[in-house]
Amino acid sequence: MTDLRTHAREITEQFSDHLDVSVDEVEGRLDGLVNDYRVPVEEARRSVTNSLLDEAGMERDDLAPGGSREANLAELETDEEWVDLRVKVVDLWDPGHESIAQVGLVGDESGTKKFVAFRTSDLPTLEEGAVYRLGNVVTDEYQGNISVKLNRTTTIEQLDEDLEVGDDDVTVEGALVDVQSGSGLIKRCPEEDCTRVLQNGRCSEHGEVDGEFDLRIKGVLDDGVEVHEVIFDREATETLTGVSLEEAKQLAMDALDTTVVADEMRADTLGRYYRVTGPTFGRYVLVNEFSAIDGAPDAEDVLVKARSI
Amino acid sequence: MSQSQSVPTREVARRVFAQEFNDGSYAFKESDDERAPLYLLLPTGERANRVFLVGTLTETEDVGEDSEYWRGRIVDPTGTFFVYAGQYQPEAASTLRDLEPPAYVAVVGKPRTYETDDGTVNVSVRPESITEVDAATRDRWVVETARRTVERVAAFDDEGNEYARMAREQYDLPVDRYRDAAVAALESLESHDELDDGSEETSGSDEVATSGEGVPDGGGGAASTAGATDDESLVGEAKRTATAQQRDAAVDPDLQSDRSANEELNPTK
Repeated sequence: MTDLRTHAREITEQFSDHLDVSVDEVEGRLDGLVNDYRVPVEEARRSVTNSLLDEAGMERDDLAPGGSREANLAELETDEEWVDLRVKVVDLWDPGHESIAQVGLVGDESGTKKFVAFRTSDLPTLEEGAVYRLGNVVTDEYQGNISVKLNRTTTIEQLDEDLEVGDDDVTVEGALVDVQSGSGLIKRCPEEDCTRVLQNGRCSEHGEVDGEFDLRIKGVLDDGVEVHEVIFDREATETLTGVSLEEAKQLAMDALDTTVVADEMRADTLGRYYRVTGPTFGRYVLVNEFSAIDGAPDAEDVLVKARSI
Repeated sequence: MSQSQSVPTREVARRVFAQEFNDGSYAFKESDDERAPLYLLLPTGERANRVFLVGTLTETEDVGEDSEYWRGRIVDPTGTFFVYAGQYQPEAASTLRDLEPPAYVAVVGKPRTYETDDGTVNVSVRPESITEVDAATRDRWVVETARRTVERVAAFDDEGNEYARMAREQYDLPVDRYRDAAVAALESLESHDELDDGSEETSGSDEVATSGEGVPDGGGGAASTAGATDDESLVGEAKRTATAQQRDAAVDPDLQSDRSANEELNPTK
């Protein structure tokens, strides 16, 4: 079948630098799976690719993809897209795991994305503030968030130019109509790079641990048309409520109850109007900047519209 | 937006003035699921599972028999919202218990309907939260609610406006009155601003109208300051409804049973 032949040619091309295998041989393997064993083509392709990887002693990441394309960060939306990027290293974070060589944020004109480079890929180190052409990186999706992974086949070329990193923050406003559970004085898992919020003193990953106190507000802004879930981190929460982490601990200690902190915050914030700006993380907007909206907005346009009906 | 499919979307809190809210009487579900959200059909053609309102709390009373059941009257430029909070809304109930009227309050809550003995349907709000706010927040809400109301009225004759069609079938009310009320509410803000400037030379009749309503400035009195006879009658109408509801809430056993039925319908419990 010509269809299988095409698949076979693509697979063979991917291995051309690593393995001496002919198109006929690959097509034969595909044919056996598809026509003798009734395996769907995609699955057969995966299976043949994997067995060739084994034979070559390679990792999937090492594969030359079927051609990556130039892309900007904002257009990356799906898992396992192979692309070439021109990006500036905006931020470098502490690698959370020993397998990670570098982790941080890269940006281009369209926005920013998290990037990860693994130790096993053995790549040159990226420097903060520098601009690079990254050839052959692959996207990764986790809980709706796209990041880019550098891999062994990634080419890194430092460019002698600067790049204006686009702002992908969003601004939303509305009345704060809910302060959800998990707000107020919370405890986080102290395990290195875990920071999960404890439920009844338990971390979903590390079991029973001695948590570390933190403040946050998970809220809902509603403008009557749309709702946005927003998260105020400790700093934003302290500014919003005027209650510091230390004061919150004292409040909880006096009441022998941590929930009084969230209750107090609700009384101070619910029903007020806010405008917040920050990056999105899944369905949340992470609040970097916010302001209380004071005063009535201009109603002239509403009057004009009302009279035109 | 790009919301994950597995996460149920939260219902928007609609902005609606008391006049329109109290004209609503038709509640419906969009699926047979026992826990499906319950919607109040707004006369301007929108479904409301949740509302957000800001107004002047003018009165609170414990109308419960066996256990505490608090009723709050909350006035906006067009009429009065009735808010009921009992043991299933402990935070809201304790807020109503503690608050000293008059005070500006913001309420997030669910519309609830109940039928009285004589067959009329009353609408109230079962609060998720009640918080005290300032006058600026209240003014902002009035403008926002006028905006949303005018938008709904403007879209009322749009083809494919499903809830407008439903409103026509269920209510057959002229929606112009809600536009007019929204305009009057906005105008009441302007006159309210003049009062705020500290000018004592405001015309005497306005002063009388304001104090005559027995609510703080910007509340029901503000509607009167707009001066239109329509508004006067609206306030009167709201008062009559209010009296009826007061009586019902105090004595009507149906209300109590209806309340427990409503609890079962609440998808969040």
